[in-house]
Amino acid sequence: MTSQPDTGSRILKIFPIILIFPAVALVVFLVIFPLIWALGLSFYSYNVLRGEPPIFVGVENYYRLLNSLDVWRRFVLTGQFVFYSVSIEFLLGFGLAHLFYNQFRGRRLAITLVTTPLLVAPVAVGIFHRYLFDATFGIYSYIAQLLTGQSVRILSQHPMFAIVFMDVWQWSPFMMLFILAGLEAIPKHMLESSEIDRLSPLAKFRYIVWPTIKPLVALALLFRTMDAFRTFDTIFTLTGGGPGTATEVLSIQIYRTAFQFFRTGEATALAFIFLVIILLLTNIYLRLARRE
Amino acid sequence: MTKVEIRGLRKSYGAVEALKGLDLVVESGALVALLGPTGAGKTTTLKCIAGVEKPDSGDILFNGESILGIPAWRRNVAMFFQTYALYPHLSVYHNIAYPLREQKMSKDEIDRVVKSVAKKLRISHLLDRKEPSTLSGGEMQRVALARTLVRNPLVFLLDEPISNLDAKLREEMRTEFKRLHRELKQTIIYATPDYLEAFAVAEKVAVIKDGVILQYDTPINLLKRPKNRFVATFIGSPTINLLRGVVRRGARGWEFSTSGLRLELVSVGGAFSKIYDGLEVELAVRPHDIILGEQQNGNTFKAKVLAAERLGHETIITLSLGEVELKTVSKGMRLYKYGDEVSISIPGDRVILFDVSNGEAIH
Amino acid sequence: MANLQNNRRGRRKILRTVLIYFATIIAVIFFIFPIYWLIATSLKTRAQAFSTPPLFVWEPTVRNFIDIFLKRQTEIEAITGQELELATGAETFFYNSFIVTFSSIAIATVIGVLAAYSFSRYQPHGTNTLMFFILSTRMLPAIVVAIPIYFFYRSLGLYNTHIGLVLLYTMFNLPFAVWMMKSFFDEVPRDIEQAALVDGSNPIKVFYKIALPQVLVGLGATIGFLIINVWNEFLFALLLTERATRTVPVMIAGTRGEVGINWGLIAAIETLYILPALVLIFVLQRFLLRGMTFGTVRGAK
Repeated sequence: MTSQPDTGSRILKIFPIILIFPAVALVVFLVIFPLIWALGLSFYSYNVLRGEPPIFVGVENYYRLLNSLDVWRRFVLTGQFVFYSVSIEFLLGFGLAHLFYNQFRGRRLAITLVTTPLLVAPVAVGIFHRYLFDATFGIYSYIAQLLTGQSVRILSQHPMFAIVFMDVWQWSPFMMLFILAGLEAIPKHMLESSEIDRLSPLAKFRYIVWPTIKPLVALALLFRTMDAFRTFDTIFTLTGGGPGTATEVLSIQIYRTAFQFFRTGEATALAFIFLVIILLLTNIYLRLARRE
Repeated sequence: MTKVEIRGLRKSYGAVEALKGLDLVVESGALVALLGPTGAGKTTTLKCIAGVEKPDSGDILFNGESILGIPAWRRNVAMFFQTYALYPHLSVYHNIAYPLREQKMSKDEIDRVVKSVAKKLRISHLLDRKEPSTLSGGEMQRVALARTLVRNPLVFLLDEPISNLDAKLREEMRTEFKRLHRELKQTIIYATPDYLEAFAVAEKVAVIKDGVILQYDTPINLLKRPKNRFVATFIGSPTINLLRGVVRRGARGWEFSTSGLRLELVSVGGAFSKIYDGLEVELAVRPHDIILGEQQNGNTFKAKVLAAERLGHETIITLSLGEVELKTVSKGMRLYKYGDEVSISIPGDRVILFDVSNGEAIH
Repeated sequence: MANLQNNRRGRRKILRTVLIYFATIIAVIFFIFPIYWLIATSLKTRAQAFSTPPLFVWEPTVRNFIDIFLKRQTEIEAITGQELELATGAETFFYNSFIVTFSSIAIATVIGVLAAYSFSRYQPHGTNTLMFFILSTRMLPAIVVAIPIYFFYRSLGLYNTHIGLVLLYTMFNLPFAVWMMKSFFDEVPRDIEQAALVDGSNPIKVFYKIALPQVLVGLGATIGFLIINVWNEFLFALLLTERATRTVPVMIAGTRGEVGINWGLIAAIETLYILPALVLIFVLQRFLLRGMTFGTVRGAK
């Protein structure tokens, strides 16, 4: 047995680096580089349609955006959408998780069915909700009419309701999955001893259930809030931001500024404001979750 | 036949030092047991020899040549994993045949070897089983053993090969290993946390703790002449008696004294080394070495029976000598009860002294 | 007395069961109804789809599914009242979606599986940092990078090409592939691979003969998850494609406008479009959800 130079294990040491390289290169090419480029552009006034070279304007784009009442209205609008959607999804998900925490026949099938909306293409969801909400032949409008006794034009009269409803339909199961995972992680013996100690349901929740599910709830809220902030496909296809700008959340506003009005510099500045908000929110969330 | 030498082996996992300069020489064709508690570094040592873990420093030699440059798959070492590590997606037959197929052995030859090993380990009836995960613990263990034994390697490494079996099967397997070793005449390193198992299978036992070998010796020497307090307490059942006290120079030589007890010491080797008046020591004496009844040239004491556990062919008696508690073992069924007065004698040449400051034995 | 108590307890248990089933049925109806209604509408004629009040009982027809592929551009435009940009039938869009999905997933899976394995086994320096980075790209709003990428693609000639979309989707899905596959590889006991090394297999053989066969289900789930991701992607497809490379979601989104849409036809296209996802969720539900929730949810037992 001679100790020959071992090329095999030397290759293995470089192996991971070779493998990770394309991944990292792609990320740099398609995320980091564009981000830096966009940051640069946000200090220019640039309109593709005008066909002029970009003009450096410093922070003017940011200044103008942050002083625009219109932009602030979109912030509020987006915030409302996120708040309504995420809180309803949390409540609904919480209830569903407790429901499916019970063992019963057909439970697996029910979970599969309930989580189906998660995988349906957002574009299909948006377009089809237009049919469901259609004032004349939409079944949701029909149900609303049966309930209220008068014809309701949901999309034009209550557009915010429509987009929140659609988001709740698609994403409540996501919340449910996290909370259910939390519930299933509660040690059985703790539940049993709480029964022996005759803890009130409220005390049981406060001292046994909540501490276990808290980290998962925090994570689910983080994911959902971020996703709700970025929502584009569904709202874009359901209302297109309308009627007027009634449902024009930030992501749609950025899209319109960039690709309908071609005010590229301004759009990138808005995109960066948007990014900063999201980073701040993530940070606040993570800090809250850690302090608890 | 391979002589295995390990020199100053070190291995850390992050901040945890698993091996702290381990030295061991296993003579060609010997069966050596690596004995130590969980987390002592047994598995890490074996994995370093097998080549699946890379030591941070030190060297491993087979017949005088370093093997560290040879990757695991070319080292020609067979290893039994404590976790069995059966390939879950292969049938029992293909699990056992796996190493042979990797050696490019012919199909007929593989079939012959697998079947003969399976027969030896009495698992022929399991060969067709598709999913090894459906086997019982004992069956998995024998399949894993078969996969190890089909090979003809330079060294066999066995990591707790029978520790998960029930007592009866374990006894059977101990004898089996001795027989296998006789037949194979191969170098075997056998890791176990059970001293009885180590003593039963191995000619020499290396006691390992915290990543170093504390003592590498024959079973009888480990029992009679432990080098330090850990070896003395880890080996033997019931556990060795330990009394804390001071060494004094008495009229007839060295004496050990503790509250209400004085013992004359006799050095086995003639004279004690590293001993002085007033040295704080722990005196250790094996329960089996304490003799019930008076003895002519022993240190005889009166003691009170605290408890007697009758195990059938022997009885473990817990005694109190003033403030000191001792255990002794006596042959047969002894019908003592609480409070009985007995005489015991502790032969001065059977006691071991440990320096309190470092736990080293004073011989 | 004891009997009476038993009786009461028994009755309470029955009531509880009834309540659970009642709630479950309500929940299932709420979440499944829009999908049912979509499929139902795809089986209605134009007139039936436009009926008020909505039709719950009708004679199903597969006419719409035939029309999707057979009607030529002008006819479909006439039917939908839309400029659908249909060069031929809908098959072009399905073909584009298929090509882009298949290619990007093939690349992302191969690179992702290998990278995940080396992350899991060799843990090169900075593994944790990189994994965190991968997680954080999930937080990045697509619209933020969409603007620069749009201009890059135009100037690099990647605009309106299959390769451009494939590249983009590969990159967006690589993190998911790595993340999911790593979680599956992490579950394969190391001892099994070490045993194979000792038994004479080199690491490359260990990878494909020992490790890979044990994560096949996970691999299926990862591929399934990526398929849904790419298949459903809209924003970049909208920005970076024109007629020749347009994918299904962009085509569906193009069917806007208030009057005269043939909802039966659109529902048929949508049904075909979401079908892969529906099939996948029934086959791989437990494992897909692991991807969605970044491994937090192992799937209900």
